[in-house]
Amino acid sequence: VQTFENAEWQRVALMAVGDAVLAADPDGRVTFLNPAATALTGWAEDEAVGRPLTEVFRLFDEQAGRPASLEASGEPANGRAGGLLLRGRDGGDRPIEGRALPLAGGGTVLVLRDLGELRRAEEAGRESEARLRLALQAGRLGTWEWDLRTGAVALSPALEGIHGRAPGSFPGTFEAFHDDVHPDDRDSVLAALRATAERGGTYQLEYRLLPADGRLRWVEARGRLMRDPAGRPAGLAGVCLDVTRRKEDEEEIHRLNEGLEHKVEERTARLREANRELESFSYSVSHDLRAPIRHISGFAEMLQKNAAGKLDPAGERYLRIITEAARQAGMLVDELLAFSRMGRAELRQTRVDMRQMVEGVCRELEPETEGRLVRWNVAPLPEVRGDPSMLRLVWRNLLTNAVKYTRPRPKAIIDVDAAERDGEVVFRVRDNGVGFDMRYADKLFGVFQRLHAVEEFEGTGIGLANVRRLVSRHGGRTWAEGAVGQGATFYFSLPAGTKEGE
Amino acid sequence: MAELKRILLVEDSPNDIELTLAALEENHLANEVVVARDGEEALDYLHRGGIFKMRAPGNPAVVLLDLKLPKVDGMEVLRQLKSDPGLRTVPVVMLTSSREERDLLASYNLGVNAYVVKPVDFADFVQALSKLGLFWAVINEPPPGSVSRVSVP
Repeated sequence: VQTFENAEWQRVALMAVGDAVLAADPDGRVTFLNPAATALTGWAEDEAVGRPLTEVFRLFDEQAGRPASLEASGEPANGRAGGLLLRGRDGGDRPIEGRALPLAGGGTVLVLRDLGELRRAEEAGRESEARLRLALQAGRLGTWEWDLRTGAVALSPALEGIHGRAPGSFPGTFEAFHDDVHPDDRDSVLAALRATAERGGTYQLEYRLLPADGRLRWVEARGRLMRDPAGRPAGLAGVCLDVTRRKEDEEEIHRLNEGLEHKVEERTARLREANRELESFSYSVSHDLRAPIRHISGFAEMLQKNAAGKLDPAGERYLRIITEAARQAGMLVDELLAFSRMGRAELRQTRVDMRQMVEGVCRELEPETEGRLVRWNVAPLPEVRGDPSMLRLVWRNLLTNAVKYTRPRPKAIIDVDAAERDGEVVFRVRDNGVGFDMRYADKLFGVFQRLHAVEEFEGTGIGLANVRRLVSRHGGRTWAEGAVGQGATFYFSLPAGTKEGE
Repeated sequence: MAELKRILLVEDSPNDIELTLAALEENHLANEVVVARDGEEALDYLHRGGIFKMRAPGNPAVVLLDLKLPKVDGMEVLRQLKSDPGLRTVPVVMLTSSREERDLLASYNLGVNAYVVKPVDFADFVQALSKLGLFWAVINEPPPGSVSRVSVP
């Protein structure tokens, strides 16, 4: 005891050290405890002093589970026992290592170290390693190292698996690694690894493996240059991820996409073929159908001329009917051809002054309104972008209809105006003619659809079908309103974007 | 006394031939019409080959050419005519049922001199053929080397 009191610095040092220090007299009673020993045992110095050492310092053998003791001896190694637990005052066990040092006067000094922290750190290390291993396995992730000083290459068991090798069978040379890489990828892999080895930093690669087992695999690799403590390049270390599945999926998606594209191309080709057939059909209609109609009309006419006076009234009438029917058939074919031509013709968009166009069409219709009272009310109309010849045909059809179906009226009134609403310009042609039954409004725009007898109003039933087609080619809509005997209103719209100046 | 020039009508349909001749006859233009029934015959006539080997030399004042013909079609006849130095100057009028844009374009690209769509209505047809015949066989001055004779009205 006196030894400690002799020098204050010794006591201060004992109080400050991290190891626990206990002293006992020759009778085995505690004479000293530093704060680290208090923390370890749970005994305060003033409580412990005078008590038997065996009460304050209770040791157990961790494996055997029975009380143990530190044999006091001069040999420090003797005290370095593993697997010792110290049972604290609170009953909790803590792993420790320690030495018992005999004093000259017969007493003992115990120097102990709490191993709990270390154990926990070791445990945590083992756990995180296990977790990493699990992750590496689950993710088909391997690690590798290339020692630049010896040239040795080490693959983790998982990476050996990715290389198609049994665990532990990789020869450990760079050549073996190099040989496993797909021949086409060897140069780029080698270049990237070399660049990292020379310049430092990291690498990131994607390459194919074609090892001895012949199975192609895709690998995504990342790694970096490791340096020795002196800063000299020591080796490369990295992880390699088996991305074969992903690559296969990508290739499958690519393949499916190509298949889809191929299918689209095929369909487009078939559609084009169908269109071409339709075109050649209408072409042959124009040649092959027009010719016999022309012949009927021609020969009927010649007969009429030659047989003048020789035919009875019935014969004359039959000839007139033949001529008229041929004329009608010719008109039908011509209009059908015009209809099909308009559908195929290219849209040639320019600026179109709709008011000017409508006034032009009205003038063209003057011969048909001769001797009739027709009042045209044409409001100012906007300029639009569109195909002038197509739009002219739209107006011509609508205005011809208005003139035609107002024929029974003593005074025809035809209004033309336009309004912009909901992103489109809507044009309107309204007449006070015979109108139509709204029940048949949908039929109006169909090909060869007619709501009147030919004797009543001439026509082929293609005009409005053409209007709809031409307007829809401009991205617009067509519709109509009317009632029997109360006039009709025809509308067509063009997208407002086609209005000029916007 | 009008000078009547020779017309080569290339037409395969007998009905169309008869109607065309009838229409031309309205103006007494039918006498100097030579008819070829297909493109090959037309080329033979122009080249003085085949059945026309023995014919007297000289080009027609105009060729009235149908588009759709057996063997060699009208477009090919036109192409060969316009690429032959000896025949290039012979006026060619397409007389066809087709008013297809591509036919119009192709004909004019090959150097056709006129393009007429046969009207369905016979009165219109007669009128068109009369005008055509009068213009090419009477009014127009053909290139040198065309056959003509003095008509006796």
